[in-house]
Formats: sequence, C-alpha cells, structure tokens
Amino acid sequence: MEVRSTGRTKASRRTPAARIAVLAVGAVCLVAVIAQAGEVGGNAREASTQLESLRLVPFDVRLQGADASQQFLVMGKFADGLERDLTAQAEFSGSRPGLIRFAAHSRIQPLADGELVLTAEVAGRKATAAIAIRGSQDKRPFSFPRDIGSLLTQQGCNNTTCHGAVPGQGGFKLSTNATYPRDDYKWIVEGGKFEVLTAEMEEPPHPRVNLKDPEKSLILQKATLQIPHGGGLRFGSDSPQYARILQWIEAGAPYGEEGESENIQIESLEVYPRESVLDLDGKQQILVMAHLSDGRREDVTQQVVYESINRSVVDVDEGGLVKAHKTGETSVLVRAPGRAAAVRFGVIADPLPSYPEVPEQNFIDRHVFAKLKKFNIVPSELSSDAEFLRRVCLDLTGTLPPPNRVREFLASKDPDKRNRIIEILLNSPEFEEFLFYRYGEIFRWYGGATQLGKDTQLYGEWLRQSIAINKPYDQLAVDRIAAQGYDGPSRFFYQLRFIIPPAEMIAEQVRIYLARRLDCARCHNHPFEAWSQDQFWGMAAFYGRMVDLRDSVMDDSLLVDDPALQDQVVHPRTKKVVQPRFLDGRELPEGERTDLRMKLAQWIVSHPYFAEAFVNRVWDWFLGKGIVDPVDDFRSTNPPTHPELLKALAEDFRVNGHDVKHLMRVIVQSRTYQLSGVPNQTNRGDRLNFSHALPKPLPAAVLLDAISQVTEVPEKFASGDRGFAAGTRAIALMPSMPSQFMDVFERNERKTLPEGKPEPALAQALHMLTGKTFTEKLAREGGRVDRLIRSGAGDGAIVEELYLAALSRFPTAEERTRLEEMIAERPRREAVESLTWGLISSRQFAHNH
Amino acid sequence: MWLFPLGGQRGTSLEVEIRGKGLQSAYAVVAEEEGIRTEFRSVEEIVEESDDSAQKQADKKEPEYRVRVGVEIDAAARPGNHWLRVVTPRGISDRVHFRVNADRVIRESADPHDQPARAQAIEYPVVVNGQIDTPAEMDFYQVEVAGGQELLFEVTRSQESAANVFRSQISIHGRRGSWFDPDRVVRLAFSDKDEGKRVIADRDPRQRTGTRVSLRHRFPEAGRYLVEVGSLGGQAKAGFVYQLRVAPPDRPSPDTPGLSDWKERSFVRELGDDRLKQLWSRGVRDNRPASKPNREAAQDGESPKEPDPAQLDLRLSDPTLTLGVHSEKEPGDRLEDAVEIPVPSIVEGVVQHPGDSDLFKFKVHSGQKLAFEVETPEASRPDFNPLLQIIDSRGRDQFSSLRKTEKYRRVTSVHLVSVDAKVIGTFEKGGDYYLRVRDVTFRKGDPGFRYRVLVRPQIPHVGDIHLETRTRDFEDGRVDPHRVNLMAGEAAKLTLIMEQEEGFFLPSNQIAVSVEGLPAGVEALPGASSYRLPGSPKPPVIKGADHHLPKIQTISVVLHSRDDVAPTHLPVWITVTARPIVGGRLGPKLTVKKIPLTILDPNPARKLSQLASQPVQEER
Repeated sequence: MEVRSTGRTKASRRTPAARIAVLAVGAVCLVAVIAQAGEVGGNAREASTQLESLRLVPFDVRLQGADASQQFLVMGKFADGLERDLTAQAEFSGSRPGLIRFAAHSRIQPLADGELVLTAEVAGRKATAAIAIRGSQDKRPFSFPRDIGSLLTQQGCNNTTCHGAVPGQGGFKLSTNATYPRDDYKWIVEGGKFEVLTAEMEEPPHPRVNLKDPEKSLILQKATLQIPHGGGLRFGSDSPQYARILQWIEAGAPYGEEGESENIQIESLEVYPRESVLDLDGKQQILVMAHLSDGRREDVTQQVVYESINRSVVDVDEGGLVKAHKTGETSVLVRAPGRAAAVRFGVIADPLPSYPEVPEQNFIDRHVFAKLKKFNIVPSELSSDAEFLRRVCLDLTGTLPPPNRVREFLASKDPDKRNRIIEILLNSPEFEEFLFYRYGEIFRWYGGATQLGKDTQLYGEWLRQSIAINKPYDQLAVDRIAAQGYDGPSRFFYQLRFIIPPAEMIAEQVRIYLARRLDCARCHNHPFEAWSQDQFWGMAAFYGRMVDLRDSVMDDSLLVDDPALQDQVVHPRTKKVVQPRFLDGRELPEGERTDLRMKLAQWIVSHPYFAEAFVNRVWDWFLGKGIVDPVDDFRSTNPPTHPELLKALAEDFRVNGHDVKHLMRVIVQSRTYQLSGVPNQTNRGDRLNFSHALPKPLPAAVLLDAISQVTEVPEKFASGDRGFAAGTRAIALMPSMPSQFMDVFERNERKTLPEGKPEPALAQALHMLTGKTFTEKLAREGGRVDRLIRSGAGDGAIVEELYLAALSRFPTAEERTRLEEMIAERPRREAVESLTWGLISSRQFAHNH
Repeated sequence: MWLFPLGGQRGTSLEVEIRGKGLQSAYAVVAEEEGIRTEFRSVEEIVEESDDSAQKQADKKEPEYRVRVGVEIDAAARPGNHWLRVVTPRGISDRVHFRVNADRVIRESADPHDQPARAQAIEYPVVVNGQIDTPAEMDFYQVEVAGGQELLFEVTRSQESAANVFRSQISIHGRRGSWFDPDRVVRLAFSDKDEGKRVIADRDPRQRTGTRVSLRHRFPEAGRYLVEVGSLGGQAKAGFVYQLRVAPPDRPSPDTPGLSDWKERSFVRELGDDRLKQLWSRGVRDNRPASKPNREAAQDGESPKEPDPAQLDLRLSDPTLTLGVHSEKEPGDRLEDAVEIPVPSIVEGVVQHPGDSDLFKFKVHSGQKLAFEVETPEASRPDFNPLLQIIDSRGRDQFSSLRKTEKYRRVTSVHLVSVDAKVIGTFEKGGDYYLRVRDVTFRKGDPGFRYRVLVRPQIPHVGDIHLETRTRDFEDGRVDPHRVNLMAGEAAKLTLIMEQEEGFFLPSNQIAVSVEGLPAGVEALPGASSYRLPGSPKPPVIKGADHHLPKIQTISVVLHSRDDVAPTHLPVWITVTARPIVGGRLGPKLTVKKIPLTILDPNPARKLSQLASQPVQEER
C-alpha cells in the first residue's frame, strides 16, 4: 500500500500547465487537450506543449525532528523549452507507508525514522525524491526567533511600516523581519523605547508581556484589539497565533535554549525556482529552503513573507503561490528573519512558432540570448556600422568620430574592422581622458571648496597615472583604501586640512567597491537588509587609526596609521570602543591589527561583491542600465536581471587580473553591445534584457565637448584668476569649475555619490533655444560653419559634413534633399547655422544610441 | 612686490623691472650679496590702459609703481638665489627675489606661445625667463632631442609669486597624434612637486614654500617635444614669474633656496664627520674634571668599578672623535640580524621597499643621554619620512621620533602627530638597545630612500636662532626680520627666538646677544620680551623621550637712534650675533643675521630735493 496525494486542479484551455492537468486523467483526454491546444496555437503549439520530462524538487531531503516538514514541487519540462509547475496536477506516493504523512497535497511530515522514495506522477511520467527521516519523535526545543519571531514576521508586526520601522511604532520597536531576535526579545519581555543615539532609557521600561496574568499581556491585547492598536487587528483571541504567544508567556516567556536558538541562525535562503517564465495566467509555487548555521537545511516555505514587486505582472499569496496576470517581468521578494531573497518572473504571451538562430560573439551573448529566448524575445539586428562607430567612440572615449574617420570606417570592407577600431580606441589618449572622467565620477575627483587645490591636483594626477599604466582595478582600490603618506590617493581622505571622520568614509567606500548601501546603518540597523549598526561601526573602525603627520594645521600633512591608537571609533549608542570587523561579521583578530586599512582593502578586493560591483558599473556605462540597477544598490530585494551573466563577467574580470580594458573590450565586442537600437515586434517593450540598444543621454560634459567638436569652437573655462586653456575638454575639468551649460544639464558635482541618473529638464530645452553654448558657437568666426561656408563647398557637401560630424552618418536621401532645399531658400549662412543648431539640439545628437 | 625678468646669466647685464606698492620716489636698488651691481634708472606709477582705468585707479587703495634698474652680474657671482631691495625716502623695501644663472638666459618670446601649435623653440642648455599673468595661460616651448636623451627641466618661480600662491607645474608632451586628431599632443610626463617644500616645516614660515619644480625625463625617440609651464588650477596673475631651465640631468641648479644657515631638525642637513664639531661650535664644552669618587679612586691607583657616566659622555662627545660609518645588512628586520654599532657613530641604509626596516644594536650605560639625528641625502619629504624607534632587547618600544602635538576628541578623534629629524632620550637602565629605522608609513620604500643616522651623546648647544617674523604686524611696517628703517630719535625692536638644545637650558647657561656695525648715533639696548612665538611647540608627550623639542627663549634688542643722527642715503648693513655662555665661559660667536638698516630723514621733501641732484649707483 502506498500513501498517495492527488491533485484536483481544473483543466484550463489557456495555460499549458493547466492543459497538462488533463493529461493526468488519461490518454484519451490527452488527445482532447492537444486538439484544444491546436485550436489556440496551431500545430507548432502542439509540438511546443508536449511534456518531455518531469522532476521533483527537492530530490534529496533529510527530515530532522518531529516538527519537520517538506514541501515539494513537480516541475515539467516541455518541448517549447519552458519548465512549468505541475505540482497541483501531480499524484504523490511514498515507497514506505508509515514513515510519512501528507500534511497537504505536496507537503509531507515525518511519522517514523527511516528512508523512503517519494514519487510524483503526471501524465504517465514519474519523478522521484529520496527522503531520510531522523529523530521523528524528537520535539524541537522552543526558540524565540523561530517560534515567536517568525510569527511576528508573518503577521506583519515587524515590517518597516509598523514596528520594524527605524524608531519603531508607538514606542514599540522590533527589528525588521526579526533580523535581531535578541533585541526583539528584550523589547518585548523587558520593554523600553528605542533611541537612535543612545542605549540609555529615558523612562522606566514597561514589559509587553505580563507573566502574572499572561492574557493581560500588552502584546496580546494590542494584536487582538482588546485595547486600541494603530496597526488594527492582527489575529483573533481564538487564533493559533494567539494561542502560541499565550502559551509562550505562560511558560515564562523564555528565549529558548541558547544552543538551539541563539547560535542557530539562517545563513542563507535557497529559493526555487530562482527564475521562472510563466504563461499568461500560469502559476508557480515558490519553495524556500533555509540553510542553517548548524549545517541543516529546512523547508521554511510557510514561514516566510512574500511580496511581488509588480503585482500587475504577477501576484503571490501568503503561501508562496505565484499567479501570472499580464506579460512582463518582475520579482517576488522572499523575506525570512534576517535574510531576503528574490525570484524573478517573466510572463510571456504565446511562444514563437520558430525562434531564430542568433549568432554569439562571446560568453555575454550566451547568457543574454539564452534569457531572451526563454522569454520569447528576439534580439534586434546587429547595428549598422555608422550606429556602432558613434556608439563605441562615445562609450570608450566620450568623443565623436570626426567626419573623415566616419567615411573611412563606413567605406572599409575589412570584416574585422569593428575589433580593430575597438583596439584603436582602447589605446587612444582620448580613452584615458574619458576613463579619467569616469573614475572622477565614482572616486569623486571634484576640487570643491572642501578640498585644497593642491590635494585635488595630487589626487587627480594619481588617477591619471593609474589609468595611463592600466593599473588593475583591484590595485587601484587597494591604493585608495589603504593610502598612506603624502600622495594622490591619500588626499581623498581630507576635507581641507582634516581627515574625514571614519563614519563618513566607510559608507561611501562600501558603496563604491561593494555596491551596497550601508548609510542608514550608521544610526540604526538597516531596515531592509541584514546590515546592522554594529556592522557599520565595525567597518568604520578600520579607519580609526588614521592620523595627520604635521607640525601645525597649516602644513600639508602625511596620512599615516598609528597602531597605538585604540580608541578612535566609538559606537554612538553604546559609547563603547568598536573593534574592526568586516562586513561579514568577522572581527579582525587582535594579533592582526597592525595595518587595518590594508587588511580592509585586501578583504574588499577579494570579496565576490567587489568584482561584481565594478563589472555591473561598467555594464551600465556601456549598456545604459546595470544588471543590477541602480548600480550601487545591490541588495537581496533588488536582484540582478542576469545573475549568471553578472557572475560570469565578474569571474572573467577576476581571472584577467581586474584589467579594466579587458572588461571593456569583452563588453563592446559582444553582439549584445553591438545590437541595433531599432526594436522588433518582440522586444519593443523590453527595457531589462538588453535585447536592443537603449539610447543613453550624453553626460553634460560629453555633450558640451560634442557641441564644441561639431562647431569647432572650443569652450573656454575661466573663473576669477583661474581658468583652463582653450581646447581643454569639459570631461577633463573638475566640476568646481563654473559652467552654466553643465549645470543646466545636471552634471554630477561629485560632492557626494549620485543617487541616480540625471533626468531631462525644462531648463535644458530652454538652454538649447537660447543658451550661448548653442547659439554663439554657431556664428563664431573660424568655427565649422564659418569654415564650411568660406570653403566654397556645395550645399550637399555641407549637409553631409554636418551629419557626419554630429551624427556620424550620412544623411538619408530624403534628409539631403529637403535640407538642400531649405538652404537654397534662405540666406546661406543663416540656413547652415540653423541646420547645425537643429542637429546639435536634436535628441539623436544628445544621446548615444 | 615682484620683479621681471627673474634672473640673468653671470657675466651679463640686463634691465629688470620691479613692481610694487610704496615705491614712489625710489632712488636706488641694492643687492644683498656681492657680485651684483645695480643702476637705478627710473620709477613711474603704473597706469591701467583699459577703458575703466580711471575707475580702477580710483578703486585702488594704493597705486603701484614700476622701478627700472640695470643689473650687472659679475662673471664670478654665485649662481642661485639673490635678493634686491629698493631704497626710497621711506627707507629700504622688502627684498625681491633675483636669480643668477650659470647657463645661457633668454626671455620668453613676445609672440603668443600659449598653445602647442605656437610653441617657442628653445635650445638647451638654457634658462628662459617667463611669466604667466593671464588666467588659463600656459607657456609652451619646443625642444629638439636626440633618441635616448635625458633632460632635466626645472621651473623656479620667484619667492614672491610662490608666496602669492603661484603653484607652478611642468609637463612634457609628445606630438603623437591620435585617431581622432593627428595633431593631438600627448602628455608624457608631469611634475608639480615642490623641491625644498617642507611638509613638516622648519619653523620659519618662509621655508615652507618651495620655489622649484623639476622633472627629469628620458626621451626614447628623437624628435621635437613640448615643454609646458603652467600653474595649479590655471591660476595666473601679475607677478607669476618663473625661470624654466632645460639642461642635461648631470647639471642640476646649484642651490636649494630657503633653508636657514643652521639646520637643527631639517631632514636634508648634512650629518658629516664634523657634526660633533659643528654642535660644539654652538655650545661650550665642559672640561670639568671627573667626578670625585672616580678621581679619588684614580689617585689611589685603583681602577674604578664602573666608568664615570659624565666622563664617558664627555669623551664620547669629543669633537675630534672620528665617527665610524656602519651600513645596514639585509635582512635587518629581526633583532638577531641587527648590526652592532658603537656610540658615537653614523649608520647608513636604505628603506628599499614598503615595510622594510633596519635594526642597529648599541650599548648604553645607566642614565646615559643619547641623541639620534637622521638625514635623508636623496629622497626626502614628503616622499620619505624616516621614523627612528628605540627598542629594548625584548623588542619593547622605548621612544621614537614620532611626536604627538595635538589631540582632538569627538565621537571620533583627530590626532596631530609629527615625526622629527632628531630625537633625544635618557636610558634609565644600561644594556643593549636597538635603533630601528623605517618609513613612517607602511606603503613607501624605494632605492632612493637613503638615510644616515648619527647616534651620539647629547651635546648641550644653542640651536636655531631666528628673528621674530611677526614683528611687522606690531611695528608699523618699519621693522621686519630682514630690514630696519629707523627714524631719527625713535626706536625699533628686534626679537630673537633662540632654541636651546639637549640640556643647554640651565640656570648657569646664558646666551648673549649683540648688534654690530651700527652707524654712529644708533645704539643697541636690551629690551623686554614678554611673549612667546605664536604656535610654538607644546611639551612632548612621548613617554621616555625627554626634551624632545628645544627650550625656547626670546630676547629683544632695541635699536635706538639719537635725535640728531644723520639720515643714511643708502642702507648700512648690521650684524646680529649671539654667544653661548656656560659656567661663566664664553662660547663662539654665532651670526644670526646680517640685515640692512636705514636712518630715515624726518623731512621727506628735503630728501627728495637732495635726490634731484644726486644720481645713485649702488655697488657691492
């Protein structure tokens, strides 16, 4: 005899998964379903919806203890390449009766120790999983984090809009999603009000539990609305939640056994599937496994909180069942105490009858195109030579290709000309100049009022020289994080003549090098992520021994680390000296605390986050959108669109010695980068999957340089008795140099790291109309317009030259004809000036596409 | 006040123009040093030629003047920095920097050469007098070099422009072109590092500002290259004058400006074999007989059980003692690898790479007082900052040349720390000790990071003596450390800041001050000093290192002129001297400074009428 569990879901005409449900009934029905499918999708559809294989997830389970349980998924692989959730249609059976029972259709619980095989069957196909049961009679000891903490999380008591907010709610503070159960226990059992800057209590604490009269406990009375509660009714007096909390209080409100509850934490969450493609109206159950610090793995599917980022695309219920609503892409967040994860969902319309073969140029294409195929999106064609040349010149050098070079490139029949031009650009002085600009943005070379001119100069020169020798990025980071003495990177640590306090430094460093935002953990535990205030200050402590070496504050100073200093960084709440501790919580052993910043630098560059952060940033530079976006906001609740691609890029970057040029070369050589910006029917709405080139607005400095280049009128930068020689490019300037144009076009002032990308503004449109950058340069004697008119060139030649200079392409026949007519009808100089203005104020000019 | 052109070749003549305020009715220009003759030619007010000049002139609180002076430089004149001063009826002016060059000197072209395409061609060796007076101006010069040629490029700016925030920089460009622009120049080398700049300065503020940026560059390929002289941040204004020198690298400019005569704590002072002698020349050697117990023991024909510490120290500080030089041995970073050295001696070594440290072992007797002085003969501050650490035989730190001077405490603290070129300490226990030398950072090391450390007994002596530099604020502009303009019947005060080193500061020890060369009717009288030099160092806080910094005393001398003293036409040079006195015995005379003094005519109109009939040519 077998224990069995049979699905009861109704068949559906619209989703293949539902159709397959009918298959489970019998072969006769199978014929009927295929016939129905033929009605919807035709013959191609019939072939694509054939079930090819079945598998059970997880396939190897160990159940430990009487309270254990395990949810299973039955996933079917279909001929169209998609894998669909067939759990609801599956029939389960166990090979040894008496060892398990089905608590739900696809969830088992242990009855006795032993081993068995679980089988799932759908449409005559079977899949199995091995199950081992141990300690089936052992009740798990009580644990506050697991038994009370997870209850509070599930009830939403500790989310960020309620008591999980930074200051708590109504005087009651809980850590977000029970991230810090010790703290939660204290707030509940001992009472008290959370203060950001001090651990001292202003008033005597009032416990939220009443051990003498448990039913009068505040935590129960509030949640059941026996007394007013801003959060409303959370559960009733007859609910299991009420009973569980009451039982806990009656038992004396213990924290639980230390060995069980204190030391065993969730180290990571494993979600299945990590990425899923659903048909319209398709469904997918999410399975969540917790990896515990004692090495065990437990099913926590029913103990976590789910949230859909875009509920119009997919919705998710409290048990983790996802339902598709409309085509698109989004993520479902999974939150467990102290941990979060995300599952990416794509919802597609009918599969394509035939997906074209798309050539791949390197591993980037393999990853990008695989996902596109999975999502039924066909990438655009390869870009035209003109499109490619302008794009790659602007992306690698921030410079427009001159007309003669455009002509030369377009005329070339060399099949390898794209790779050749990439190499030329990567080794050009303009590349170095533009990379300096890029680095200046992220490493904040700005020369503002809080930096000494001399320091700015030193810092900038260090960056320039590092670029000139193509210094590996990890070395650049080490140099900058651990800088000592009187040299370029050390100058970054100064505001005027004083060292920037560690706490102001560390958040920025983590954001640059690890792409994580720790800022808020300075004052309180991070509300969404597992970054605690202790971790923030632990990281800050690495900067705690920096001292100035100088006789007086008016001297320039050397930056050194004094090993004798022990009390530099003090925790603002506890007022205790903080010892250096890495972001992963590991405290630096006392014997290794000699050169703290070097230790930190080495830890940072060897951490997987480091390479991922930079490749993602560079990807954003070239593709217009990061694999994680924003590029410096990696978090479990902001997952990458292409996690495997991100890993592959990071690995390639690492194994190639953190060579920035190599990374850029790999990206621009990919077909993904070289795709046309012209979309097709399948990718028109895609903004996430790099299926076609996205237009990128030119940064203010690049735009200004481009205008100067097209008009052949260099910009003059001067302020008071300072200035830069004519011909100095805007990208080479420190942003403290005044420029109305760049201000209007929202240049990054680099005083802080930018929060996002600049947005178009009305002032920019007005500046295009009347700003002197656009108007004066056109009429300037000696400029391109003046030169062309004086050269005696014909109208057609002038139009062509201006198109090549501004747009890096020849005008179309229609454009040429109409513009020649326009020039012929108006005073010639005025007409050419107007044409030039039209070009440099166009969206096509102001974007890299 | 500034001058252009900044200098000339010795054995030639040139006309220079000195600009500044308060120069009306100037009638002479004098040089501070021999070898330069001046001929005053004219003085005129500078009138702006622009349309709004009238308004600008009105806005100016004080007009500017242009003094033209002919300068004849002897063929034997000392190359390097010299100083000129303008004499007016109101006395002698501040000094203005003038350079004497051994190389051929030319002026920058009057034609624009502010872009690569318009670079001025020059042939080396050469010195070019130039100026950058328009914002964003930079000067381009073109040199033609042979393949493999190495050249030294030096930009020396005037002291006045340096003080006026002229931060010069020098770049070498090649005409390499690019895919975008075939005429593009590409920067090959760059420098803005001030030579002579003291990151941790000697205490004379003037010495904190370097005046020279240099760049050594080897050109792998023959061709024409560009030299660009610019300024930090593109800053430029009137008075930003410079000399560009292009020469083979084996001919550096002969001098490093700005250092005072006595260099107690400069890292670039020379610690030669005669260092003990130098130190004793600023003190008085105490040859008192040995202490009584040992002397009595010697008379009794017995050998003393322990050497007399006082006698031993006196013997070891004998100025005639030959100092042995001991070199580091790699690896020298473990106690057992330390090189043993006697006291006194000189040790030499190189901090070859980041983290490199060298150890030297020496013996001391109980109560012995030692001094450790370090010199950086090649790379120096701010690149190389040698740290001296004294540790005992168990590796425990005793004291070091690191000196903590300030400490701010907030949520996080900021500490101000300095590292000195000299540290002194007293060893309470006798035995073996170690000197460790390393760079103060963990990051720096280079074959050029050479050091010499003199380990010696402490020698009580008079250290640096300099004139109060802030007097001008208090004295109505007529007295500054380098000049005295004295009205008949009035007085002016000179204040000397005197540093007393290594135990010189005792009640029985004194420093006598005198002023020599005073004109008739002017006398030097003792004056009261009741204030200390602002910003003077705080007491040391390093445990175990006593007298880390010198004791400082100020002494004032008042120069008083009688009512009937005759005005001077040209300045008289007076000499301020100091003499240490120990136990009533007079030490050698130390020249503090030679400064010009003028006696002013209380009736300027009378002076002007005299000038009308008396052309002046000054000779030194």
